Amino acid sequence: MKSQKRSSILRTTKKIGDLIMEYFTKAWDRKNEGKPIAWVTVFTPIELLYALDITPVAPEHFAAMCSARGLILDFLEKAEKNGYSQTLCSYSRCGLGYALSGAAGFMPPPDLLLTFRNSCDVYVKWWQSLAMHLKAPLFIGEAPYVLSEEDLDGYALDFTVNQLEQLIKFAEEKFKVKFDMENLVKRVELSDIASELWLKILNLRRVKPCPLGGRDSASDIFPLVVLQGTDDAVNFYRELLAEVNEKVRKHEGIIENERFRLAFDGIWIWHAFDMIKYFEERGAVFVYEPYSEAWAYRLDKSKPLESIARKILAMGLNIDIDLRIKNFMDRIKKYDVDGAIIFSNRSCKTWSAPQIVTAEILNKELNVPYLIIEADMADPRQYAKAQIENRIDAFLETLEER
Amino acid sequence: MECDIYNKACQKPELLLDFYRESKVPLIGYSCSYIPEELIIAVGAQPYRIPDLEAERSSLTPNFVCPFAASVLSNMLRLEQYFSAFVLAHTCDPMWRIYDILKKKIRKPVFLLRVPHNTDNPLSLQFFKKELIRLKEFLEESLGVKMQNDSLKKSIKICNRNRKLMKDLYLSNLNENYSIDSANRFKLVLSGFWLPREKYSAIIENACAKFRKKRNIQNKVKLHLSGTALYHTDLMERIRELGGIVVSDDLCTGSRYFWDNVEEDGDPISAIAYRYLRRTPCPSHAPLENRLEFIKFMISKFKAQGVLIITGRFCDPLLYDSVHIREMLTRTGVPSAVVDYENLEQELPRIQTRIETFIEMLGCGG
Amino acid sequence: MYLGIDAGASATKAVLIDESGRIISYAIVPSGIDFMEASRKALEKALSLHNLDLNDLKYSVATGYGRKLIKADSISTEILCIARAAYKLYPSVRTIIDVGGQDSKAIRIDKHGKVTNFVMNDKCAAGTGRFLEVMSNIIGVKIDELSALHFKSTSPVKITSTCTVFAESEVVSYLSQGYKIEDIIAGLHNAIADRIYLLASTIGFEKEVLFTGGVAKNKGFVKSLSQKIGIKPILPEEPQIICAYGAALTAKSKVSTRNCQGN
Repeated sequence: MKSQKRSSILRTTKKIGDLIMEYFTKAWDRKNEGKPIAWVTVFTPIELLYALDITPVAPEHFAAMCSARGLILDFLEKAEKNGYSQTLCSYSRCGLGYALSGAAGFMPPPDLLLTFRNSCDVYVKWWQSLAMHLKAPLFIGEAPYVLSEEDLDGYALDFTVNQLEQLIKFAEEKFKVKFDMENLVKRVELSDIASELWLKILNLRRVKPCPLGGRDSASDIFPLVVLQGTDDAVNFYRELLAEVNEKVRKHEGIIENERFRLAFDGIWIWHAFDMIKYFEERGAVFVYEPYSEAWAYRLDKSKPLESIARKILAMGLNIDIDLRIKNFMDRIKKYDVDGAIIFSNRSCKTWSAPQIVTAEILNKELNVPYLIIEADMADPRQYAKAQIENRIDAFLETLEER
Repeated sequence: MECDIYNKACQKPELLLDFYRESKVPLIGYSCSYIPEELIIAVGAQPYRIPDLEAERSSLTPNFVCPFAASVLSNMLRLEQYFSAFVLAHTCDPMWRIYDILKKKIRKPVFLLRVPHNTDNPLSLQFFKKELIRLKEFLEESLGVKMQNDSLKKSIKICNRNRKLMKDLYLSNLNENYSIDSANRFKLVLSGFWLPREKYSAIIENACAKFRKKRNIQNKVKLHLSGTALYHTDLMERIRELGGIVVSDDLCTGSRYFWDNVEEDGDPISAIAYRYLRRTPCPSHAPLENRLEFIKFMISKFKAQGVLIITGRFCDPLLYDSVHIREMLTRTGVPSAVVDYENLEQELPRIQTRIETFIEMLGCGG
Repeated sequence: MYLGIDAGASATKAVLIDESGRIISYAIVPSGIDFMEASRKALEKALSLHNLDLNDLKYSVATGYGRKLIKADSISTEILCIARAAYKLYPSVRTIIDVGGQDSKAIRIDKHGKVTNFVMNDKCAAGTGRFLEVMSNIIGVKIDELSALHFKSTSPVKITSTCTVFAESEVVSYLSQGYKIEDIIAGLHNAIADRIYLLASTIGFEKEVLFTGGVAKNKGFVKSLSQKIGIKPILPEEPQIICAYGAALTAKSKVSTRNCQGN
């Protein structure tokens, strides 16, 4: 196999590190000013929180970051020492370990624990456990599983919108803030622009050679995780779009000789970006991930609460399996995908449980070969490097044969 | 029906499948105590709860996914021919995804009852009521029948009567007046998932008459069993042999199945929605405090000396909960132990040793 | 005279004690596949070492993995036996960590010697003697050489996997890269110590801490575990027979209770 020129990350992507630090610094500033901090699960109404002058902090992102920077082990062990089983979601073990260690690091301690059950039931359990340790008020919302397209217009939507209204009342009473609809409309508008920009960027990955790879998309999602509704998010994606357009103009791909275009199904393995490099060094690039696309969602500023409710309901894991398969198949065709890497993530049962069935369907319908990799998204102790690289080699060899 | 049919029903519930088929009784397979049996009975079908017994865990889902859920899936696939339809509940993540997989792998109609996880929210009650109406429509369509007006009221009465009988079985063991041993009591309740609901009360009352007798439990160690859905009756026998008795539990297939009844006045669907959503929640649902209170209540009412938490190896809800349950018990001075397994039958010797150790520890009072 | 037999998965231990609870003899034999045979051999050996008479034996208690498969007057579980022995020998002990061939346990006892909490790792090889057996095979050293090699290590390697299967491939990788075997062995000892530390942390460490079980004979491993916990432990002279000793004490107590109840 020819070895590739050392692959590089986009210039704009490199700014994410600073963006993250700024965001944590701001969060602590707000805390010290006496403003409320909410620990949230992702795909909660972030735009609404900003409109209520509540700063959202996402322990899931914190865990991913700690894992990527080699800082997660202490938190995992702290949680495990406290009796939390090693088989539990590593994000949750990290968050719980952080809370049990005094919550004095990157994330300021919460004044509100907010979750909407959409990704998984673990959200509910994890947030309950945090409430037991941190004694902060807990708001659990339910985003019912979307069973069909029509469902998004039915009583499940009403239920979700009504819970958002409950949240507003709760916040107004608890934190003595006044909900300002105009502010929310502004936030919704900004969030929508950020989503639109990110979708445009992702669409450019259809170009050959692909201008934006896995190590970029993994970091570039950050502004849509906790900064949607802010100018920072919009500015970042504008800059990123400009750079990607430039690369497209110059026919510059992430790597020189793009031999295989791959999809990655799962959350990234945060402590093993080396793995993405390992693919790239062998001519394989990631052109599509459901995970990257999931963060963007178009909002209608004329119906702010309803739009946000739809976004919470229709997040990637919370829509019917047939809808998920339909989307994935559509993208595989659109992005001209040669093969799929299926990450069987020990921590994320909600994603992994139906994966084998979905992969088989894709393989049968579209003749797309797939490779299953077993590991944990954030726990570095669950990663057999040699075995995984062995499997990748074998997989790429079979792609070569085709 | 002989009166020790309850025993046979627990050892091999599948024997009843042929009986129902021959009697031309339509069966609805269901997974969970959140699914109102009343609705199923009211459309003229029998609710049949699918256990993890006699199952090889399905390979359609990875091996780190709850083996209980994987076994229930496996059974549903294997026994599909006996059922008119399947009803699952959105409780924990594995059971939720079993619905996804089943949809792609089975031909019979499948329904997911979306049970809101924030059970104490008034909005959740409204939503759940609409879900029950949706379930009613699904059952009517699957069986090609229309639910009659007073059928639901009738089925509520039947289920209430059965639940009351089960609760009496428990309460009859209060105040040192121990007349039904825990292993048999567990079987009597469990058999309620498979026996014809209309006949259940009579069958059980007959059975009880045979072995109800006052027993001396002074030398036995009194345990409270905490967990989710347990179908393995040999575990109960083992505990008995090892010198323990399970005086109370908070299992889905135990007390939480029958502890509360449905209001017989007013709109039946509303009454059913209230009872099912607001009873002591399953580990997958909030608020946790309600379950902790229930556990405390049971321990003090039945004077348990220790708590055995029985959990499947990958049961996330129970694994999170057990931290808080144990903290609560430590504060109130009640010893506890956790026993986890992947395949209960295969691991019985190891599980036995743990239970034996715990019973011995409690027995050596000093 | 009273007898305690610990029929462990790897080794069977017999301990004989006198009326005052003092150990008068003991023997350790491999369990093999026949616990009955192993327990007979162990008893025979223990008797013959000090010319003791079987007729003086008043009561016997069996414990351990194979306790139900051998002949004894009654049985008891390992946790209780270990606690009993620990308290008798060292009344100031409050935490016991037992690392055996096939499992590891941590036990908390109160000032009266009563077990208040326990935790067991009985399903995973990592954190037990089995782990070391597998690894020493791969490295090509004997189990009893491990300790001496540990103290020769200057920079232990880091074994990151918590699973024996993955750890195996890490060891093979280190060997092929030319790392010193003493550094690999020290790394393995640290890995087990990490595992056991995590297990035992869930019930907490209160001084004094006692180490028992076959693997506690490995001073290198003992050093790793002590460093990890940050406490200097009490180490019995013969850690492998503690459990059987506890069974013998249980035998004695059964007779005295019987006597108290007027037989």
